[in-house]
Amino acid sequence: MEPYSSALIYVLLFLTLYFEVFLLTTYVSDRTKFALASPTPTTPVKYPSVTIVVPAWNEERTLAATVLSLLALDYPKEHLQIFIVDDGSTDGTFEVANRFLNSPQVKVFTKENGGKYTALNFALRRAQTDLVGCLDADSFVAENALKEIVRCFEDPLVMAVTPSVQIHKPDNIIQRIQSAEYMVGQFTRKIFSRLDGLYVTPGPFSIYRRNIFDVIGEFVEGFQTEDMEMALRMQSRRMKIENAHNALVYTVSPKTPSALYRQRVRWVSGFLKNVFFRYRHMFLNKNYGNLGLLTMPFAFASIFIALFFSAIYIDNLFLFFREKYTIYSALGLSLPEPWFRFDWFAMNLEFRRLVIYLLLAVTIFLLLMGGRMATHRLHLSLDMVYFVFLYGLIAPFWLVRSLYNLVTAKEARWR
Amino acid sequence: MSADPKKYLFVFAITALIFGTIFLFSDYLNNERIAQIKSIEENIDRNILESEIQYALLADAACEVGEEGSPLLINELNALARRLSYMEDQRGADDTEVVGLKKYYSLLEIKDYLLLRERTRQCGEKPLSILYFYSNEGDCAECEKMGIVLTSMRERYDTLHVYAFDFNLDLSVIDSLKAIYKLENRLPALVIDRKPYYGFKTREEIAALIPELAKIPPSDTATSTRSP
Repeated sequence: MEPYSSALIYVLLFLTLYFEVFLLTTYVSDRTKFALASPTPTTPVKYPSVTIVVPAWNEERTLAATVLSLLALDYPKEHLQIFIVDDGSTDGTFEVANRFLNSPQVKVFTKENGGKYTALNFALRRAQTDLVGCLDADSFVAENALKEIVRCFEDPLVMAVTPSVQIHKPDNIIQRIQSAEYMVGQFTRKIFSRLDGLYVTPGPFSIYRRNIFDVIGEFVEGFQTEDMEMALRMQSRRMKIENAHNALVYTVSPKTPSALYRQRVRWVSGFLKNVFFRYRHMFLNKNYGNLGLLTMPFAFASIFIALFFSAIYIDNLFLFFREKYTIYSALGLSLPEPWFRFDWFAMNLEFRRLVIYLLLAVTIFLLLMGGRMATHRLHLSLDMVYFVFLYGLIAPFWLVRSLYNLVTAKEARWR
Repeated sequence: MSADPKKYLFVFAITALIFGTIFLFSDYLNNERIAQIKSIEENIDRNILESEIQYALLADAACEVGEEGSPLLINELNALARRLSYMEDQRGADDTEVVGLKKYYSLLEIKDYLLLRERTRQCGEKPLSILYFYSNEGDCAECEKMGIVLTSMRERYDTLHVYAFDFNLDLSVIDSLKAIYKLENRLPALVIDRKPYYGFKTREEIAALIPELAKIPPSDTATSTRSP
């Protein structure tokens, strides 16, 4: 058994390193595309008309701020429409939406509850603009976000543009971990976009050309991840998705471990089910370019890689605390031995460990670059420290559950 | 963007190069460690010889040479014990290098023990020593704790000699010690003043077994080791 598990470990390490080297070489060769916004942003050549749909279900607490941030966008008002679609809310969402009826830019609709994708489709059928986008009712846009996105559409091949999604005012440890996670996620998403390998157009402020829906159809339920399904459908038709990394959007994130768990199970399960039940033909298929050969397979493999690294991390933490407990139970609170002593002989510099140290260093680099992209400062924040030390302890819960959901799914096309 | 096969191959080559470099670096570090171990082994050889000579000299010189004149530097023994402990953690107790080094270490300890006994006998003193028998084979739940307690006592009292022996090490002199002190197969086992004691003992319990320790001022410049 040992040789097989060792071989598996080497394969996982090599795959992870391969993927990270791919990301880094793409970043290095395409560095100019990662430039931070200049203080005087270039105005788009022209302002296409845009409809932003705000689907809302029981979002009375955040909806007003979401709409206000849209109204404050630095974009010609005559070219920007806002559709608020109340998806059968049972709280005061509709009343909050109606407060904006005085604004000529805002239209408010209400319909029976049917899920987010039905609210989006409801608005899509009524939108007549060049571009259509969505903004979740718990997200807020930066003033220049739409301009940054619209500039990407100057390339006629671009069919959708995703923004840089960041966490809105993280104020507890769960949100701060997510804040760092979103930063590293944004940096890798930018690299994926350079590879044409994006497989999600996030709910907060992804913008599409209106006419693509006539070609590929409306949003579908997509295993509760309609944004992922839409991106995969676009990619399956070779439609280009770009990322505007300077278009910042802030989203309210889960505050509690259980809320985070539910959200992530939905995301990861949605990804797995979309990939395996709907778009399996793209998996490892060179006809779909880097998406088929690299980003999609690695997103799948990364579930197992993350579980593997988490297991190593948890095992090491267990041994560390077990040792400290043994010292305590032997000596009580008086510790004559120094808590830390540096001796290179004591360091585990075995091959696999060295590779893990290197991978960790690359992860920290990605974190720093992601942080720089979001905050325009190159610094190590406390959020990043939380992420490095705690993410590996919580992610296995939703990863394992999502895998369980995949293998027990009732969808008949598993085989 | 279609996948560029050249890029995939290029990245594969870089990854393989990094993998290879790390492998070579790891191998180099491993060789360095082995070289360091060899150097320690050579020191042990020399120390055994020196201790034998000094042992012979002391037979005539009575108490003229203080304990500080011993060629077996306690710090060196401690450093060796620490390295053995690291190596055992990382390479496993069955590793050939580890087993070989532990045998040398045990021999050195026994020589130091004999030397100490001889010197204290001639000087009319009582040897402050503890023989500690442990096992790393999973059959001694309290050996780790016992090792920590003894390490801390060795740090606290400069003149206390703690000799740790792997009960299962295939070494005839360890078998002889077991026979001399009629040790049962119950671990951890301590031999204090020629009497065996079994089971975990706290610092206070050990101090009670060696009343002379109360007269020794605690060391300010203690060095830390963990018994292998």
